[in-house]
Amino acid sequence: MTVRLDGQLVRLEGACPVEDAEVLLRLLLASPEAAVDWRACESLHGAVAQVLLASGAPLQGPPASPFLRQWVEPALRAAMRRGGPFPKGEGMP
Amino acid sequence: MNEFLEQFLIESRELVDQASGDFLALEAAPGDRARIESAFRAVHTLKGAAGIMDFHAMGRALHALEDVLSRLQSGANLVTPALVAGGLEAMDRVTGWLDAMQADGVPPAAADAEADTLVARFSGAATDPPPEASVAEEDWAAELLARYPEAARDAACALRYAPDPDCFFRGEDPLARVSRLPGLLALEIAPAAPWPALAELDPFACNLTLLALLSGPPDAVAGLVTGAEVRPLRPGARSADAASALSEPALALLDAQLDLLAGHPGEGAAGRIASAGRVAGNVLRHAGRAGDAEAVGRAAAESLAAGEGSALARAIARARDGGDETPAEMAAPARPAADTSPEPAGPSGEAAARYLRVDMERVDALLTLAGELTVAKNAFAHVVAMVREGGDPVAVAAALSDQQAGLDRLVGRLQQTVLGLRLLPLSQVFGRFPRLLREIAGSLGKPARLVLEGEATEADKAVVDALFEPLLHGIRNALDHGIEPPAERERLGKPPVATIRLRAAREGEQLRVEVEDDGRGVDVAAIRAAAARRGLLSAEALAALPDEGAIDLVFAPGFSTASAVTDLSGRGVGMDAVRRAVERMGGRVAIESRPGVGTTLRMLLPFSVMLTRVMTVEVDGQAFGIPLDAVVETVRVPRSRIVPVGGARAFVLRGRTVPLLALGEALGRSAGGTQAPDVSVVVVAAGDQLGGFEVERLGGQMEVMLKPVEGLLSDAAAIAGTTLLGDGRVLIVLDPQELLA
Amino acid sequence: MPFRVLVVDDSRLARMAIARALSSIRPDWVRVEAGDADEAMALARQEPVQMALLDFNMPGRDGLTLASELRALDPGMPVAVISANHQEEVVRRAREIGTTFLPKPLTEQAMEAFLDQVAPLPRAGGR
Repeated sequence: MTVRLDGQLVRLEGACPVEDAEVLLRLLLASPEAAVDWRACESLHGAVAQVLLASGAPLQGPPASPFLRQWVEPALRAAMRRGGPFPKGEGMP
Repeated sequence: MNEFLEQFLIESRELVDQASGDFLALEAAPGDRARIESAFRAVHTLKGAAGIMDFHAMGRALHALEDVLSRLQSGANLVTPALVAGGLEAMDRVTGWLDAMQADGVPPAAADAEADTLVARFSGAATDPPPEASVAEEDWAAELLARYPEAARDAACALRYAPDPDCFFRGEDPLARVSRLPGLLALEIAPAAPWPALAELDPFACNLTLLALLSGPPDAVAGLVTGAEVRPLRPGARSADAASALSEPALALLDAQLDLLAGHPGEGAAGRIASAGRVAGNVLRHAGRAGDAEAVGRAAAESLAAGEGSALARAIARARDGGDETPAEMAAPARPAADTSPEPAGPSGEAAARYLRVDMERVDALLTLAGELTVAKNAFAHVVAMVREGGDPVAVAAALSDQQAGLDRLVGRLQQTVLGLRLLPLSQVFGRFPRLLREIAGSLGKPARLVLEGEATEADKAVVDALFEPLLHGIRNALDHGIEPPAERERLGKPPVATIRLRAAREGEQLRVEVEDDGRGVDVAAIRAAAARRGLLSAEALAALPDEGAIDLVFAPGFSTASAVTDLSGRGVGMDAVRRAVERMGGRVAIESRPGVGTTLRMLLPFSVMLTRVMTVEVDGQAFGIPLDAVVETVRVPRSRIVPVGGARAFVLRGRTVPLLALGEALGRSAGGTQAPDVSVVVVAAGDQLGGFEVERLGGQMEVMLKPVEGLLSDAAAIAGTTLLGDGRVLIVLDPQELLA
Repeated sequence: MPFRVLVVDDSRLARMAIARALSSIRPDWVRVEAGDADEAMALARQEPVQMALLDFNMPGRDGLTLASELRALDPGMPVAVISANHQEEVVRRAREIGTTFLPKPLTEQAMEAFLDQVAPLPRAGGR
């Protein structure tokens, strides 16, 4: 399982495929306060990134791969700062 | 490609053809109401198509042209040569836009400015609609650059990628695509539309817009992210050279040279280096990249001296990627691994070649066949029931044999029908020439008209597509060498406007295609003189050669009798290119000359061609092809696992003993002395028998037109045929069945 | 009986665009498509259609002529004539024979407005 609930954390691990988007969305709807820990995440389908962005869930990083670290994390944080409908602040690494 | 874009391209190209034909006809007969009507309708429908695709620049340009045409319709204006030229220019421009859309999936960035030029040209009295692109649309790139001043300095292009909502369903991952782009400098991810409440979010409907700045070449970026908007930038840091982006065909040609060089030192290396250097240099010069062309030339000399191509390959890769250090793999989208044939792309590129328009009747015939196949399949249920019920074996066998015969017939008809799908009328290729002839004749000052005969004749799509190049050479040659200047024609009592005929006819299993002119015929004496000068034949041999034989010398590589080097021919690629192209299709070519009356270039081509997919392997430095349908797999076998069996050798593959044949020895070449710990083996199936071919190196796959073996090789039973590679080398395709026998 | 809409345009691309809009606004309607007036009349005679969306500019008979012919089959049929040219003449003639003029390229909004006007969706609890 590349996405799972661990207490108040949703963990993204390894290569998260498109199907994870729905699972992640369900977990975040069920636990609105949960933060997302993606420190073990190697890659992320665009659909999963979209759920992260839309939910505004606090992110605990940095993620595991250089592409995610260098480009996706800053882009998601910047987009959340620009303000989706649910700005929830940022999780600290 | 999405179906709308696909349909847009198909339909627009047809409309462009229609309108171009109308403009040309109007030039000859300016009062032809039907043609005015037809051109108007074509342009109008084109405009509508542009509107559906939100291609505003194209819509604007065509709207202006439509206005001009509607004034012709009402009789307010008359057809003038300038108007015809304007119409044709607009159609050219549209064709360029369509090519760009086909390559990139989006309208080219330059379209707006080009449309402005056209609108200005047509707006004699037209009231132009205001430009429809909003300011905000235009400014996204500028704003992006402003947000990332650091990245802006090195950026070669800006990307806006708003994948459509269904893209996840198609298995696309926008993020993964962006991660593969060369030279990412800045990335923004934003919702395309505001996010809904989380409970309402459809996780599988893409609502992302990705913005990026990249240092990679715009063409390469566009090639990797279809459907994205890629805006080339001209950063100060870059030389003017790098800024002139290479076109899709140019990139493909450079890639082909890189592939050619990817071979190994040894036999033919010098030839490959020289050829790749020449082609790459020409491509770059043609693209206005003189600096890069020079660098490639220097690298070619260096490579030739070193006897291996790496210096040249590096130079070509650098030029290809606009001076960027991007690895070639990243910058080269969808490059077929072993396509070593640098096919020159026609003026409209190979763009149109990927589509096949199919007659409804042929589709219906296929549907009928599908129905009959279903019936045949169901009939087997009956036989199965017979067996289950312990029916009489003789009756079962008879029933099975009946079914088999029926299936056999159906499969035969299916093959025929599917082959029929590939049939195209020659008008598809002939239709491109009235326009080209007009241009070439105009530039040479030799008025000529083109007469098409038998353009409804059909042939295999591969043949029709491949005919463009030889026909173009034939026509250029006729205009260059055959047709006399108008003054001379007048003196000779010939009509001042020359006639060139393109003629096609089916003759049994062959297709005859001719280019006939009414010029002066072939100057045999000049050919003999040129052949002597170039040392093609000895003086005695030349003297003994009959006239027909002497004429055939024009097909010799590099032969040209042009006394003045013109723009069009006299570049040393003339009739030898025709012969190569025709032979690649498995055809023959000949010239018939009637002094003072005219010349006929005659091509005899197979009506259909068999395309065979082959895998290339290398043995003793020479490449061979093995038909892919015989290849089971390729494996590496440790030498220790190869065991002698009688006088032969074998190895065990998944519990099955497979005889091993050293391909080099089997082909009577040297055994190859390498003692690597394991060997590359191609496992082939012949009947129900497996066999392994030990080879030195495995190559890629390619699709080739097999030519039956002639001459020296015809006694060699193990050869299925030969095919000409793009660089003129012959690839021998083996017959595994015979080799294993 | 399903609601049958006749879509006539010589451009398949245009028909595809109309089909896309139609299927998102009225997914349950049945579409019949024709490339010219002759084909359209043949289809309409085969099985009645309840509405027609016609391109004005077609080879052979134009959309207005076709509209009159369809009206002869069914005088009450809602018909829209679509054209990229807002020529007064076309708009006026379209009105004269009681058809609606719609600009091309046809937007989903324009289509929806037309459909709501001539074939409103049954409201919840309505009918």
